[in-house]
Amino acid sequence: MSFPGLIQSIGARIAAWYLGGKNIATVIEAANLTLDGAADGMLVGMRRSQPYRCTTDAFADLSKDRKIRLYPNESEASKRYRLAHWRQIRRTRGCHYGEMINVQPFFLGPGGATVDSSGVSFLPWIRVFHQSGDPGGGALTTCHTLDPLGNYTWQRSAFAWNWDGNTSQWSRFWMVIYLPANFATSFAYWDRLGSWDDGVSIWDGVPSNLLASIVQGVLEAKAAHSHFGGLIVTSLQPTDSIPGFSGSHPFDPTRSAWSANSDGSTNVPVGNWASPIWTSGPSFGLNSRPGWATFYGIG
Amino acid sequence: MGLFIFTDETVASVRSKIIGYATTAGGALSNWIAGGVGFQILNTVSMTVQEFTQIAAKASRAFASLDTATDPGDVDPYDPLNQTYAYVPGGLSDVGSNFYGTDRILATGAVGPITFTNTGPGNVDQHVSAFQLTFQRTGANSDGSRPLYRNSSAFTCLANQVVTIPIVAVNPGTSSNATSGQIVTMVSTLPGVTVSNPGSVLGTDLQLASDYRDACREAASLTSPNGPSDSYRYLAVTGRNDGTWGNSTTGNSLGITQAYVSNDSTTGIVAVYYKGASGGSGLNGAIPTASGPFVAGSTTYVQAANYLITNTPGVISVPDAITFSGQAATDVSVPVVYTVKMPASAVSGAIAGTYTYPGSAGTAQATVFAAIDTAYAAYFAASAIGGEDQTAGAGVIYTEDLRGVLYQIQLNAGVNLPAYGVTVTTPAGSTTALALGHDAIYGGAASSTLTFV
Repeated sequence: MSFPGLIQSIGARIAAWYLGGKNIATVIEAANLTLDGAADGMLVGMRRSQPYRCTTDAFADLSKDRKIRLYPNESEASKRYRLAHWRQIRRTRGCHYGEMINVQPFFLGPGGATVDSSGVSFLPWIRVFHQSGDPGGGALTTCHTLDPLGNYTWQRSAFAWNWDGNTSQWSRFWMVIYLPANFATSFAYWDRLGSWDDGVSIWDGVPSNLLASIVQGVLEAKAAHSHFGGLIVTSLQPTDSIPGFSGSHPFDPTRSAWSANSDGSTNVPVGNWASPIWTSGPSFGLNSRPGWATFYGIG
Repeated sequence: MGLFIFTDETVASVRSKIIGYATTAGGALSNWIAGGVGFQILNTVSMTVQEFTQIAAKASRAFASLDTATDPGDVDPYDPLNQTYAYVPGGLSDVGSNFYGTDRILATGAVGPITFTNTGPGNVDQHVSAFQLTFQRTGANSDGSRPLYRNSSAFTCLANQVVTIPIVAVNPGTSSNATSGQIVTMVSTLPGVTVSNPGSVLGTDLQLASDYRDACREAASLTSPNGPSDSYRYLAVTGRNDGTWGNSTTGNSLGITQAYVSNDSTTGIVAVYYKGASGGSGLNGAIPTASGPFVAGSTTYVQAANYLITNTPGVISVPDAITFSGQAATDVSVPVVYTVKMPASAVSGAIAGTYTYPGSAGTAQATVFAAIDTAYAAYFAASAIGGEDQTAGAGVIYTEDLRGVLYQIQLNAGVNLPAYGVTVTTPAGSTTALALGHDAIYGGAASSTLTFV
């Protein structure tokens, strides 16, 4: 709602018949214009509590009041969305759904759009693989999925996720983000040239500062009793085939058997999170991870 | 933040604005006849518009954020007169109750017991109606006033008997608190009867605006049943000695000001460390006054916080299968040795010279040393368990931060003493390491010096 000039125009109508003098009529109109300014200022001030209507300099107050942390590499649209959905976000903190809804808005398009002009979603598929951990060897993995439409599903995974080799440890989880097609235009597979982490981007694709913000967003939303093992980002979609492996889908929770890629890397949880290159064993010197995904270890 | 939309306009600024607009629109407004009709209309209109701008600014502040909203009686940086008004629910309380579901804790009149001894010569049975009698405390407040109290129930005190009944202060707030034996005066006398309060008479003040704002922000911390760190922290710092928590209006705070929550676990164990204003070790002591699930003189502050986190009905802070461990932070004493200079003219009664901590009692240097002690105590009270730049809960205290404290010493509110030549030689290094669950506390300032120039 906005009414610039409303008081001015009303004043002009009701005053004209008895205050016809040019100067006094001008004064009255100027006074009404001043009132309009004050009313508009009041509206702007009150809208500072409305994330979708406020000016960006109100974000700091909203963030403080609603206890929603904002991140330097988060888009304005994401900030507005997360500040407006603060109750949902705080209500679901501590579970994997809460972690996913806290970072999915990072990918919102201009003005908060969820799809581009072609109808392609700006929002990514997100999966979390959670391994229960069991010293006795019976560790189970559940897979939690949030699709671009906001639908949440979970299932017991056919394999026991074990990217760190620490199956005796409890409540470890890894997040996989399938970058939407319109985001991945600048994404390239690791070209295997130079350093895999050049300090600006990781594996020559995703800006590392964006990944750092996403990681912080997950840490903020996670349960105190869990361990965030790492973030994996891929430009492939859940239904895409892995390059060179037709019919195999990236991080498919229904897949029960995993094998080495043709280039020597593996697309499986292999217990070698610490090193991108095999340092021992039969795959010595070869890549330990697939080139079609970016890996960001938390520790 | 000094946003123009939060700031009241003055009549002069409104008048100037109107004249500016009118002149721009072609009005010939340069030759006012003082006292003329046009001049009077302009002034009247300016004052009316200015009143409206005040309302507009107030409404903006009330809706924009918790920090800009105030109730009458609160300090309002945009309205110096606001703190002179008596409290009534205003913009801040409206936002708090309507948006955050959190009511501001009001001041309560001090309540407690008083004992009648009806043994005077010629005494007779005394029948007293509720609120019939008025009592007065012996000690005066700083403004010279002596609080009044009334009996809050009817009673009969038979001849040669002693009876104890409840009283309540006439004016709410802690200014009417009384320790045992302080209320021995009856304003309205009863022949042959003497009175004395055998126990404390205690009330509470209106919740500070800053505390109320924090309570509003934290109100959603327990909405998740999945064990986020916020839930542990919230129950610990809002816990009270009668087993209540959150925005409870009963009991008294456990005094836990901070809680470190380990936010990373591969064992199912969540470790929490607590600290109060003066560190962690005091929280291992027993709560002197307690009720509900707690036992006075037996339950410790740590046990009380752990109980609230693990047993609070209707609240899930620790999910099933999680092992929770709550303990007091380990205090690490950090002595500070500093040198600081300031103009003698900046401190009343100061004489040029160099003085060693703590200074002779009653001197200007003792006053400044005491103010520095207060500032350091506040700094360490506010510092995080584990310090800054933490990795897995272990961090540091920066010596440079300790030096910075010396530039913020105040003898009068809002006015920093003009310190210069400030050095801190202890701690010797640039940082002091703190381990997981360790809390830095002020270790005094022996050997420090202050120079009045």
